[in-house]
Formats: sequence, C-alpha cells, structure tokens
Amino acid sequence: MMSATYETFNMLIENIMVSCRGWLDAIAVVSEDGTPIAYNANIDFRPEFIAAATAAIGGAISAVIELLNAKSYEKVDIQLQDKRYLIIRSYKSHYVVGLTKPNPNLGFINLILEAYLSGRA
Amino acid sequence: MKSYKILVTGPFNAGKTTLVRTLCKEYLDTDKRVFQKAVKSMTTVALDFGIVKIDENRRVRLFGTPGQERFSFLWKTLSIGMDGYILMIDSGDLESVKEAEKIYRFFRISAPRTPHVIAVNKYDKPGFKMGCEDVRKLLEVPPMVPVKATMAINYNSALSLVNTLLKLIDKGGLVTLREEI
Repeated sequence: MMSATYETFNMLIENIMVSCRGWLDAIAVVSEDGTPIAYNANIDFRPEFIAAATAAIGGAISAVIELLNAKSYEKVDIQLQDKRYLIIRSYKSHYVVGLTKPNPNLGFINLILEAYLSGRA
Repeated sequence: MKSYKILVTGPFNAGKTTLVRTLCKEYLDTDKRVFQKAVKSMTTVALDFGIVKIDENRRVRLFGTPGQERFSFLWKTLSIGMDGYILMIDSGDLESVKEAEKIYRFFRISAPRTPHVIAVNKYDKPGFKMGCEDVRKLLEVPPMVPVKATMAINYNSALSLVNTLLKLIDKGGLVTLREEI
C-alpha cells in the first residue's frame, strides 16, 4: 500500500509538472538521506541515482553556506550548457529537484514552484 | 522489497569506490583528477553510489563517502538515514589506519549504535600487511564488531562483506549482539 507521504508528494509534483505547461522535463521529491519519494519525468530518469546525488549537492551547499556564515538558501538554479536549468528547492525536510527544457521561462517556473511549495496553490 | 542504506567510508585510497563498482552494475561517478601528486590519479569528490540486489526481497543502496579529510563535511550529509556502515582500510598502509581512526571516532560519536563492519582491504596484495587483529587493536574496535579481511576488487569478497553487515542490521544492531556475547 502506498503511504500518505508518497501520495501527497506525488500529487504535488504532478500539479507542478502540469502547471509549468511543458517547461519541465522532470521533477522529483527526494529525502535528505538520498531516497527518492516521488517523481514525474518525460525523459530517461533514474530516480535512485538522482536522489543520492541531489542529497549530496544539498549537503554540500549547506556546508558552503555555513562556512560563509550566511543564512540558509532558498533556491538553487544551475544553468546547463544547453541552456536547460537544474533547479533544486528545499521543501519540508526534502528536496524538490527538476530539469527544465532549454531556454525556459524561469520566472514562470519560479512562480509556480513558489506557489505550490509555499502551499498557496 | 526491503531497501537498506549502507555507507561506505574510510580514508583516501582505501578501496571505497572499487567496492561500489565491483558490486554494482551501474554506479554514479564523481571522480575528479587529483591535483597534487598522489598514489592514484583520480579521487571521489562528492559520493559514490550504486544499488546491489542481494536477493528477491532485499537490495542495498551503497553510498560511498569521499576519502580526503577536506570533504569531511559530507560524512554527516551522506550518513543521514543509514542502516549501517563499512569502514574500509588499506591493509598495506599504516597512514590509512591513522586516517581511519579519525573517521571511526566521528562515526562512533555521531552514530554510536549503528551496526558497522571494518574492512581490512587489499589483502591480496603482496608486501607489508596489517592483520585484522592489529587493526582491531589500533582502532580499538569493540569485540562485537566484525573486522574482515577483504578484496574489494573481488565480487564474492565484497558481497560477503555487505552480507556480514546485513546480518548485523537484521539482528537489530550492536546492542542485540552485545547482549548475545
């Protein structure tokens, strides 16, 4: 039987995927310990590997921020060579990680993510 | 299917990446070129990751830590939610044991009840080698913790190591084992 957490996160990422109107090729929720919780993707996607690597990125960013005596981060947007973006957001002790299409409407994607992840949508 | 998270940790050049690659058909690769002259040309800078199917009901997700101390901030991150850990040591390198002491101390403090095994690796290599009992004494490994001679390049040896740890985890960890002894 699927857990409530899985159902909740699955619904969340499905809603984000639809609301982003095709700008996202993949999105996943992963736990801080590197376990995939839910994902939705139009591309070849290996959730276990994405989850493990995302957790390491999240931990590394937190370490850098701590070393710089800065406050915790809100978002991570990494521009790839083909003008796609790898986006990472912190969400309820989990990470939301996504990959956009090339040259995306990043402002629009950010609005959607902010709305859903803050619970306003 | 039951899924276990096992951390593979240890000093630089102990064989952590080799263990993950020997056991997993597919693995995540974060190796980068070593800037300073060293015994090997590549080193792990983020993590090693791979999945091993043990049987129809169990699989293990292996998370390998970087070995160099400057990446120690990742030990904590990668250990979140682990069911157990493997501490790997190069049996032919005394420095490796000294480095391992620091790592072992970190995990003994941060995860005191987490089941673990010590892998005395590269046992097949000729030349100077430390025995398992030497390593046990040097690291002050408690009697209920297995210290195993290992060859990470050999599939059966690597799998045997993981199975030893799984037995500990399934028994309920070190507390139960201590009671048995």
